[in-house]
Formats: sequence, C-alpha cells, structure tokens
Amino acid sequence: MSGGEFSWKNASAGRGALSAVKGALKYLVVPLFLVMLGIAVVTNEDGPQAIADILVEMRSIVLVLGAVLTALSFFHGAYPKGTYSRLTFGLAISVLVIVYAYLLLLNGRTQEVIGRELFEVDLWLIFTLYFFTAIFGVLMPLGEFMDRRPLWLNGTGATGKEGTEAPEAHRPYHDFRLRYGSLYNGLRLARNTLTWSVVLPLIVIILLEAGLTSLEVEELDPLLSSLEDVAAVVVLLGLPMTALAFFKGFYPRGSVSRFIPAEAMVLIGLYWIWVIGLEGKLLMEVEEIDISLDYSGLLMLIMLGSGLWLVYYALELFLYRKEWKEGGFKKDLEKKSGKKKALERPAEPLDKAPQP
Amino acid sequence: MKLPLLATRVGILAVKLSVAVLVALSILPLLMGGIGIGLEDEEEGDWALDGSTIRLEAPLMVSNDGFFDVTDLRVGFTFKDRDGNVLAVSEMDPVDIPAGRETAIPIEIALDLYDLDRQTRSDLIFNGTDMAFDLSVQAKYTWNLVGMSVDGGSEMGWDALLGNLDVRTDMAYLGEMDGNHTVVVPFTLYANDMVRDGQALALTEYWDSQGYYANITQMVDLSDNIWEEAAVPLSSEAYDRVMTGEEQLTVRVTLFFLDCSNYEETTFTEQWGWGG
Repeated sequence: MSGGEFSWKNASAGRGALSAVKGALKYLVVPLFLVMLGIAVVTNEDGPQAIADILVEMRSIVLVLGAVLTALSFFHGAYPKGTYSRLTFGLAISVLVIVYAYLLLLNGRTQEVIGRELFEVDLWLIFTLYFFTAIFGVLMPLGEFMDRRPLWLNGTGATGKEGTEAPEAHRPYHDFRLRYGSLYNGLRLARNTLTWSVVLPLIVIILLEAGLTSLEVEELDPLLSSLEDVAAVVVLLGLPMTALAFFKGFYPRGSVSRFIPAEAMVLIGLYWIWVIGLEGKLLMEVEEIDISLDYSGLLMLIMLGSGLWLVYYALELFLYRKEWKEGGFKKDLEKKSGKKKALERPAEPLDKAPQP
Repeated sequence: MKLPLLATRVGILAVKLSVAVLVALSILPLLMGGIGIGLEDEEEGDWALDGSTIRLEAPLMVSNDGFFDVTDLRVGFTFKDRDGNVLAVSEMDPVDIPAGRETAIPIEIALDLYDLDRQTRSDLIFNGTDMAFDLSVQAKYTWNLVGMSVDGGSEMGWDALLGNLDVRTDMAYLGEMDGNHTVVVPFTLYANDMVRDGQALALTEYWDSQGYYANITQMVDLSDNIWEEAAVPLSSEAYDRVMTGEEQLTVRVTLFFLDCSNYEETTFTEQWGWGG
C-alpha cells in the first residue's frame, strides 16, 4: 500500500462533492426527514410518548452518523477507483452503515416500544437479514479495487493486461474465463438480487405476519400459514438467484457466461413471481363464507412481462458479442444498463503516482 | 444502449405498467364499494308453488361502478336436506354486467317436489324440516383476468305447507243427508301461503267397536283458517249404537297432497242420545 495514494493531488473535489451530495441524501437528508416526519406525526396526533422518545434519540444518531458518512462519501468519491484511498473510505462507509443500522435499534428498545405500542415484530431478525446484504456492501469496494487497480496502476485506459486474444481461437466455453469478469459488477448485482428477491420480500412477510397476528383473527390463519410457505420458497429460490446474479454481473455483455446465468435467473424469477403471487389464488374464509380470488391471469401477464427478459438477454448476447470479440474480450467495467462513461482521470504513471 | 435492447426494456416496462394500472383500476372500485349486489325488493322474494314446483323468483340488482365489465356472473343455489343430501340445484345462466350500469338479474330457484323421494317430500309438505341452503356466486372481472367466487351456506327452517291437522271430535255431531244418517266430523288445518288457492284431498274414515266402517272423500280448498266438515254416512245399526249407548268410535282424517299423505286419528267415546 502506498500512502501517496491519499495525496489530495490524486483527488477530484468535484467528484467528491457529487458523491457527498449522494451520501448526504442517502444517509442524512432522507433518514432525517423520515424521523422528523415521525416526530411530527406522533406529536400532532397525540401519539405514544415512548415512540416520540425513541424517534428523538434516532434523530441524534442520524445527525451524527449522517454527517460522518457524508464526509466519508466526499473522500470516497474524490479519490479515483483502484486506489487504496478510495478503498479505505469505501470500506469505512460500508462498515459504518452497518453500525448506523445497528444503533437505530437502540439496543432493543426500538423493538420493545414498537411491540408495546403497535405490534410484535422481530427487528433483530430484520437486522440480520439486512446484515447479509451489508456484507456485500463491504465486499464491493474490495471488488472495485481489484477490478480497477490495474487500470489505475497502468494509467493507460486499458481494461485488462491480458493483451489481445485471437477471436478465431476463442470458443464459447472460453467465455467462462475468470479474467473477463468484474468482481464489482458481480457483487453489486448479487447484492441487489439478494435485496430485492430475498431480503425485502422476507421483511414484508415478517411485517405482514406481525401485523396480521396482532389482529388475532382466526380466519387469517390460512393466510399466515401460506405466508410461511412463501417465505421458505423465497429463500429457496432467492439464494440460487443471488448466486446466478453474481455471475451474470461478473461476466461482460456479449459473453455466453453472462447469457446462461441471466436466462436461468429469469426462469427462476418467473417461478419466484408465481410463488410469491401465491400461485394466483387467494382463499379466505370469513364467517363461514368462502371467498376465493383467482388472479392468475394478472400474474401470468406479469410473468409475460418478466419473461421478455429472456428475449432481452438473447438480444444482448447477439448484439454485443461481435463488439466484445472485436474489442479483444475485455472486462466490462461500466454500468451494464447505462451509457459508457468517460474513463476516470487516468492515474499518474507509476513513477509519478505516489505522492508523499 | 442499443435500440433493440432499449425497445425490449420499454416493452417490459409497458407490460408491467399496464399490469399495475389494471390492478389499481380493479381494486379501487372494490375498495370504494363500487360493486354491489342485493335484492331489488324484498317483497318479491317470496316462494310460490307452481304445480309441483316450489319456485322463488327475485330480481337481483347488481351495480357496477367500476372500470371493467363484470362478466360471466353466475349465481347458483343448492338445497340440501338435514342429512346433507342434495335436494335441488339451481343455476342461472351467466350474465354480463356492463361497467357504469346497474343491472337486474332475474334469479329463479326451482325445486320440483316430484324430484324428491316420498319421505323428503312428505316432510316438506306436512312436517316442516331443516334445510341447508348453499349460495355460490362466481364472476370474472378485468377482461377475465380476475375471477372471484363466493360460497356460503346457512341453515334454513322450512315450515310445513300443510300442518296442524286437527280432528275436532269434540265438535262432531249427528246429522242427516238425503234421508240417511251421518256423523259430521269437523277438522282444521293450516295451509302455508305458498299453497293457498290450491286443493288437497281429504279422506275421512270412521269405524266403531262393532266393526262398522265408512269413509268419505272430499276436496279441501286451501285457504286461511281451514275448517272442513266430513259427513260420514252411518248405517241404521251404527246410528242406533251411537244413539243408545256409549260406543268407542274412531275417526281418521287423511290428507293427500302431491302424492303424499298424512293423517290424524282420534278415538273417542260419545253418547249422542240427546242429538248433535
């Protein structure tokens, strides 16, 4: 590690400011707004004082940690990708975000007050679920560092040091070579998939179960039971999807190694939609009246929309493959869905890069 | 992003947005109470007997203030006896309820008594019974993408069509008809609204302890407060016996209706020496 990489000469104040604004919105402004809104609602509606008290405590945490995270975001954004300085601030942010979430639990008092005033909900379980996605948040700066380090060191704009590869000698199974992959993209997509297909659905199920159980309505028992089944399937399908998402994100557009996990993900995702949609049927019994709702048609329509991703990834392989081959089978270090951004400011040549 | 990929993404987004809009437009009317179902006029929901068929005709009013037509609306009724055996199934033809309209649907429940076994029919006519009544409503909405069915059931007490047959031997008297002696035995019964204006057959039988037997049949007009008198012919010997001493007499009135019967029998002792 070179201490010179922390030199301000390597940094860009403009990028740092942009990153700080994003960080401020994410860690300070939005949380603070929500907490203040909560305090205002509780105060105006004569709500429970205990809730107002914990919200006030949360406000202090949000202010302090939000400000710290905003400052860290500034430095994280200011330093270029592939530097130890950016890695350090990135890791600091990732770890501090976990601490931030932990502190908001107020050592169990948040759960206790919500349980007393609203309904029993296991916030520790929700935190544990969040923790798994947060681990990806910690790994992502490392992934970015490993992806970008050669670029930073070379300062040439090349996205790999493998050199050119003869396209005619390249076979589709060669697409699975690890050197084509981007750790950061893989981890990012895996984290997003874990969040959207496992963690958030499970949190919704936990909250629904807590809310419905607190109603103590016997007729809702079948629904609660089916929610538990759905939760099990969400985990069962979500984890393979997360694993596939890593490889889909890891490999570049135009590669078979991206196409196969992408298509598999879509197929599993279709089944996931079917399961989480309770297979399009909702059965309820209210005062000896059986009510059955069959919305499988709508669910099929949603699945049709999601099924179009199969076409999308096939097209993507077809449209990008030639480009990828002609480009010399490079890593895809840009955002997959966005336009290619201009490369970050190239690093100084090695002999100049470390600044005392 | 390349154009075909962009087009595919737009397609995916369009489908998902369409579904979201469809869901919102489907749920909103339900939440706002825009779809209602009820009887137009409770008075029109009375049962009637038409020949051998018990019939209920009632216009069901369905209002649809939603955004989509309600299609294939089916209403079905199932009657079961107290043991759960299906007595009758009635299903109306599917109808569509256009959006923004209130539509009257004539529902008809028909139960042909001749479709029932004799014991069940007899229970319905003479004894009253408990019945189970299942209602099933099915409909489709949002271009048939959403289907809904509601199934409910309840117990219903069924009053006898003809009941409280009572042979009023306390009001019996001796009379004469065309120069012949008769014993006139009144009987009363109750007729349900459903069978009023109809007729039942009454067979009145008489016998005494000496083995004399006579009977008479008559048609009974079913109306409020039925009071009928059966004039049973008596032989001279039988007449003398009831006039001269105490005689144990038995009268049985049997009612026949829709191939079922029910009787009331009374044994009594009467001394008519003083006249009726």
